[in-house]
Amino acid sequence: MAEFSLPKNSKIIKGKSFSYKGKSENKKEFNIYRWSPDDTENPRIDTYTLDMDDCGPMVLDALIKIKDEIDSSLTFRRSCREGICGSCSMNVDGTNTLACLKSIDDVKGSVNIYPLPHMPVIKDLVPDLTNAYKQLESVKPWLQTDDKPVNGEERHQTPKEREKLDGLWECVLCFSCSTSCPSYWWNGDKYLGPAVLLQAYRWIADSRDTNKKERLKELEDSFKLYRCHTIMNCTKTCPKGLNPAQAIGEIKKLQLET
Amino acid sequence: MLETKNKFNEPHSGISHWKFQRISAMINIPLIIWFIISIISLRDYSFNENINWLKQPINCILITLMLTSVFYHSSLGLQVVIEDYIHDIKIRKFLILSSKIGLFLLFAISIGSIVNIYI
Repeated sequence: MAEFSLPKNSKIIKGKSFSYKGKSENKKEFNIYRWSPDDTENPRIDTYTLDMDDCGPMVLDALIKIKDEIDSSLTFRRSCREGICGSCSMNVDGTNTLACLKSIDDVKGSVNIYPLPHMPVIKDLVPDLTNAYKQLESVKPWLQTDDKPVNGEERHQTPKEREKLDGLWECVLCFSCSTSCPSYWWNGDKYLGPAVLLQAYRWIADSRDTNKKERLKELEDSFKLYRCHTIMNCTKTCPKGLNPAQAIGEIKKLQLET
Repeated sequence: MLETKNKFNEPHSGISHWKFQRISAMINIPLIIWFIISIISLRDYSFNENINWLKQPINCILITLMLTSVFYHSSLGLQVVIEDYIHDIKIRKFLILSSKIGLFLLFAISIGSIVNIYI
């Protein structure tokens, strides 16, 4: 049964407040979700105030500044800081996004930062993505073919065939979409979720892959694929501007044809 | 009628359920529009005049089609809602079966009422 209220030890309480002592007028408040597995305390919201004249433009810049100058215990994933690695996905201002691509100026008032929704939390803003990665593995996201490339060269694609992969290959697997999907919240153990289904379609649509039929058959399941009820949160939230809902629709269309 | 090919969320049953849900939805659109327009235009008439309207073969056929399609679509839709929210397999199967039996009874009563006009 879906749970509609949080268990007692998951209720979020008000945490510490780190006020800004400088003279700058250009201040911004950051409310950040904190939880540590090392103690028995409830999750809490800590508030940090930063001088915006002395901070980079993106939410990730603010997080790094907080960790560097105010509270070194703040934990989050980050790597490339330019929207390519997909590490810093989190919920900023109520929407899942990459902290490195989200401009602080886009948020009116104070900035609320939470981990990706409905995933187990490892610490602070770090979610446990084990299940999502296992699901990705289950769609075999690699080229499958028995054909030998001609003369040992690369496998050729016409520009038109290559075009079909546009809007699919750009996915950085940040799982912002999957964790924004109510169907994935309720049935994340069985429903593959938009991120993984977009990856599945990326290989179905690849002209070099010869395992299309088998891939489609694998997905013909009322839970793996058909829990998608075209809610479209995935497309709305994708920080890379991709359209997982359309990819899922394409898979359904191909299944109708076979 | 309310039986679907897929027996309660067995694997490899996604496409037929999805397809029939969409087909029945498309059939519902014109039939329900026709039905709403009809009952609005019949609102000032007496009970007997309404019965006479229903006795015309075209109205009788259309309303039977609509009831069939609507109840079939409801059964498919309710199944999805139950699958979404009820995770315990036993309770889920029980609720899906109950919803199908319940909807079938309502369907049978509706069709029975139409047949009753002719008896």
